[in-house]
Amino acid sequence: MTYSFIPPKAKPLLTLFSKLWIYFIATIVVLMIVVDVITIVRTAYMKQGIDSMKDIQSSYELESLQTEANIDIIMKKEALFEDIYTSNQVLKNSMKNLFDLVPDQITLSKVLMEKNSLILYGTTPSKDTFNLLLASPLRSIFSSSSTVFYLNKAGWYKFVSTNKIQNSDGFNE
Amino acid sequence: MFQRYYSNLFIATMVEAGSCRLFAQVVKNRRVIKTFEAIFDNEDEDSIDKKVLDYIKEISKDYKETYLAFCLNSIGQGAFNGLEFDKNSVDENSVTSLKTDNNWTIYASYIDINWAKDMFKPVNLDLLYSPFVFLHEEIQKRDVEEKPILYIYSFQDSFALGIFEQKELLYGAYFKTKQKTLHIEDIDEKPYEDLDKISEIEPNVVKNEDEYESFDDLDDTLEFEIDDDIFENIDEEKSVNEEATEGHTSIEHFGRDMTMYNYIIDSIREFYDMKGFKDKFIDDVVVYDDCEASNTVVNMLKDEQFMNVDVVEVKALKDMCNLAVKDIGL
Repeated sequence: MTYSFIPPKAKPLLTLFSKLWIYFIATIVVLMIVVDVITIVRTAYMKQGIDSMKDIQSSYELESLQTEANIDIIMKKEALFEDIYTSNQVLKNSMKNLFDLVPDQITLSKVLMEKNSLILYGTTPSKDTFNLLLASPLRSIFSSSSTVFYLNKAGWYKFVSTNKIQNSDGFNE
Repeated sequence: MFQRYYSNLFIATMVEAGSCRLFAQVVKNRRVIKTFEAIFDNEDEDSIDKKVLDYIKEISKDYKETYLAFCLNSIGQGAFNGLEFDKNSVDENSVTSLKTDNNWTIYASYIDINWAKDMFKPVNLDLLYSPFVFLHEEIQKRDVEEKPILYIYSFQDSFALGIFEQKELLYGAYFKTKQKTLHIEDIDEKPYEDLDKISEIEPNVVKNEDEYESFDDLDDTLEFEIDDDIFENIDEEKSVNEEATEGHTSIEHFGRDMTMYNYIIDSIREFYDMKGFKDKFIDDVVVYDDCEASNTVVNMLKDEQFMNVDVVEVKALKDMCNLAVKDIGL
């Protein structure tokens, strides 16, 4: 309880001028804090964006690697196809050559072409015809060549000629 | 909150007997670290001398905050038992009042409060105390007694009087023992016009026609002073200024004491006449003396009224300073 007839005037710790200064400084500090917070938030957002972009980049990289792998496979397949094609061409040519090689007197009934071997079944009027006209070229092509003859009812010889080559890539299908 | 940690200057001031007394103390962290005291001539009691205001401004410069307290010494104030203004013939709308813990009221008129505020306008008055507040503070320090006791808080040219029973005020009045500066030649021309003013403003002083008899007694007393040989001597020895001044002073003191004595006796009579206090009898008086000039009154109360008088010396300005510190809450 106060015993004064009049209340004392409030004596503020700070003058109006000081209050204005403090208000000004506080406003600036608040603004700086707000700007700082905005910068921090925006930086965080950008960082998040960078992270997501990095994720996208790494996924693209992964995809790229997969694509490259696929390209490799396709290239290999292409090479293989080309190889097969070439082999087939060669085989086709070989077959053509083989069939060109077979003289008219000799008739082939069956041809078994395996990787390192060629087995020919057919009929020939005589062993000599076969040996002269077909066996000689076969021997020049294959490293080993053997032929088995047996006589059929018509007086012709059936033959089975087995020809093999060593260390060869063989024939492509 | 932080105010107590820096230096606060508390100035207590009082205008009386043609002078303005100041007591100042610097309070820091609940400790008084410095005190000042000063007295300035202040002939016109209705205004404060420029020197005083300049002095206050000057000493205030060195401190963060200054609180100026003033003791109201105008007669437009008083105190009464209870809280009812009408019962005590006080216009509630024209006064500011304080209610004490012991169910009594201290009041002062707005006119006097504004006068005090205007007087200190250049330096801004912070706290304004009634002499009854000092009386209240002193009585709070005393042990409770069952019988009614007359307490007087005496200043140089005024005093507050209160009859208390168990710290509750039964009767209160404030008197001025010197109305402005009375010159000897003025006494015959304007005999106690101001006493009429007292009766108008302070209803506790005079309530019926019989009380004016006491003023007549006072008149007689002062007439006695004027007729005294001392005055003749002063007139005759004008060349000896110092002696004349001393004589004048001693007469003033005597006159003041006689006026005070008469006011006290009148107040006691009025108290005895008041309803509800018929069975009360006062035989103990406690005088809180700030001016060290109440010896005549004390002796007269002892010798003529056969009262037990206890005189306690007080420093009103210092007490005012301490009260101001308490009120500000430092």
